[in-house]
Amino acid sequence: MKQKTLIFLTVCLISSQTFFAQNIAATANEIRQKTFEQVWTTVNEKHFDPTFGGVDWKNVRKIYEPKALQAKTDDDFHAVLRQMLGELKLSHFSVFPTQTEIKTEDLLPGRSGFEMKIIENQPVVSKVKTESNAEKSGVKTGFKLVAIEGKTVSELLKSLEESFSKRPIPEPQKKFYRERILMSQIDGKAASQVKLLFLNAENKEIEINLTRQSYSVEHSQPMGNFPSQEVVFESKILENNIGYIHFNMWLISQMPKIRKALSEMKGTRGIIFDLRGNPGGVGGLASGVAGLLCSEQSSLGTMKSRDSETKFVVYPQKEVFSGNIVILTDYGSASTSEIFAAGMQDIGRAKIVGETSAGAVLPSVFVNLPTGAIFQYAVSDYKSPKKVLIENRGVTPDFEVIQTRQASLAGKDLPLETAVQLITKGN
Amino acid sequence: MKLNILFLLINSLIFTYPVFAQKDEKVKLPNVETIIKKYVEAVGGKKAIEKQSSRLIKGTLEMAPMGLKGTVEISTAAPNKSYTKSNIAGIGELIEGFDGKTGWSNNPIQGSREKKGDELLQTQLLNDFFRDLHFEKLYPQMEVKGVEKLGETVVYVVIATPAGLAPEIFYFDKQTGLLLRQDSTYVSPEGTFNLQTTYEDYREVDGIKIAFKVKAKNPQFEIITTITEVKHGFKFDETIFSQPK
Repeated sequence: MKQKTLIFLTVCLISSQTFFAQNIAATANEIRQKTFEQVWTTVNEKHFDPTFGGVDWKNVRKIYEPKALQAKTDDDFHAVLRQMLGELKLSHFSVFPTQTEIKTEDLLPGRSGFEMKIIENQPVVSKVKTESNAEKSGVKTGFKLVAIEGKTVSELLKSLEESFSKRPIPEPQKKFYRERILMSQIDGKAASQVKLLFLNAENKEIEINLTRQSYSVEHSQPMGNFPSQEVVFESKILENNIGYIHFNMWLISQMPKIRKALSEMKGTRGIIFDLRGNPGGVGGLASGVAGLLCSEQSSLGTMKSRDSETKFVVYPQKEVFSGNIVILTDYGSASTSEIFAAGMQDIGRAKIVGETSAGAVLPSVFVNLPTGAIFQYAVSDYKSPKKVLIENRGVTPDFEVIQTRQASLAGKDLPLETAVQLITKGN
Repeated sequence: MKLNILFLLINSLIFTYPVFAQKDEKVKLPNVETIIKKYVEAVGGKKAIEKQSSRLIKGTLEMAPMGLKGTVEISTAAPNKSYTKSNIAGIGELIEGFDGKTGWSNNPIQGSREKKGDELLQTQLLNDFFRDLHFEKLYPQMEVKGVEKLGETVVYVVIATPAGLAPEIFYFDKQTGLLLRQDSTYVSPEGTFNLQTTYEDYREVDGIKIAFKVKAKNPQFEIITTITEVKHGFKFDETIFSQPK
């Protein structure tokens, strides 16, 4: 049987994506026991580091098994599992709900019409969708979010901040979680209302009632245990004949779009890959995209599991874009985005502009648990071509450019401007 | 065996299974020739194997722990051509071909590429249509290492080393002569992957016994192929085996 391609595939599909757990369905105690056993044993047998980074994993079981089995609800049970996995102090060990079926409401979610970033340690509107209710209601970039439905940002983030105090988490990842928690409160059911309090350009409080709008959203197909994901892709030619590509996740369905965009950008002087806020996806796609940008076979780095070492090999494709490449990163650029950024930086094919990335890069797989939840566990570490471990460290930009609230208020995107300048100068 | 041989080389240390049995002085072991001859007879014999010059196999695929599922279609033709198309839900088509000289693959992740070096050598080894009959030529070094039990079944353990590649371990059923397991390593530019492949559910098709269930696994993943259809004497469009321009 010719299964070589499939073996490659199973390696490539090892995903690099960070996930955030939500709700978990109810289960019986017996199922919870089996679930606990599966999670603990999987880590025990498959963690890429047999020393567990110095953590006494057997002792961890002694501490967490009774707690898990005393949990009154499935939410509590899975929370204990996440706490247990948190002892490893690594990304990509988590438990979250299954989402393999796309529901109608998921296809038409209610959106506020704006995006938000943690800028200068505060939640700031970073983008407002044209013609959206947000724009019509007067939301502007640079507005600082103060409260949602009467609850202040501090109140909304209180439990998250408490969880941060229990284990060391790199600062970029903290920002990532803060942003996601707040956005999950801002977006919601289509046609529902949300009351938001902002500080405007004059730092005066401004209350805005928004009706969440439904947008037709493309979803990827579920890929085995890897749930369906929203697909966002944007490409355009900027000033000075510079290509710009932005996508929300590294999904198989993005590849044809990326190929098409690169083909259309053949005559440009350079391309900016905006990976800000991109949490990762299918790990092998980093090599796949690099193959459209590199004229020689190379590697974007290595992942090492207990039993093998695998390179992210880049195979040059027929039509390679040879112009300058700049990659934009921020605290929300994680996993596959970091593999792509670190790899392209180390092989000298791209310059990185922006903020240090999340440092949550471990290649992982997803398995179903008896409770119906999905368990994500890392199967290997990741080292860049220059042998730098990126986990908990992140990718350091060549040009650190931090967006400011002032720039946002002025409608400026400082990292993007720097990227444009670099390509224009031929750097 | 030709249909079922998947990967090369073994690093037995990576598996947690007991190390295979050493030569037991009290057990008189058959020589390699005898084991291979019995195997060839077990799968149908030289005449039945030589009677066919092309084969189309269809089947399903399951990949754990990712939970991926799909279909596979394998077209092979004498002397050494192959074209494999796998279609995985959520991913798309993965194609792999060999026209006797050039080994190539094309998939939605990496795009297209040509195989070189050891990977090409391994591809050549895997694609001999009459591999079962050429076993001794393809594996110049073979040694009967001993007997072992796979579950309740007693097997002969044979270490076979192909030219230019690392050794593999084959486990032949002592009683039936069929190949039950193969420990090997998949070679690629990404790295090497140790694999344990088991062959189950042998069924006769046109006088040849074929394993209808093949499980290839290592500590991180498992691929299960279940054959649903085998056709011989299929006339293929020869261009499918060549790398698309």
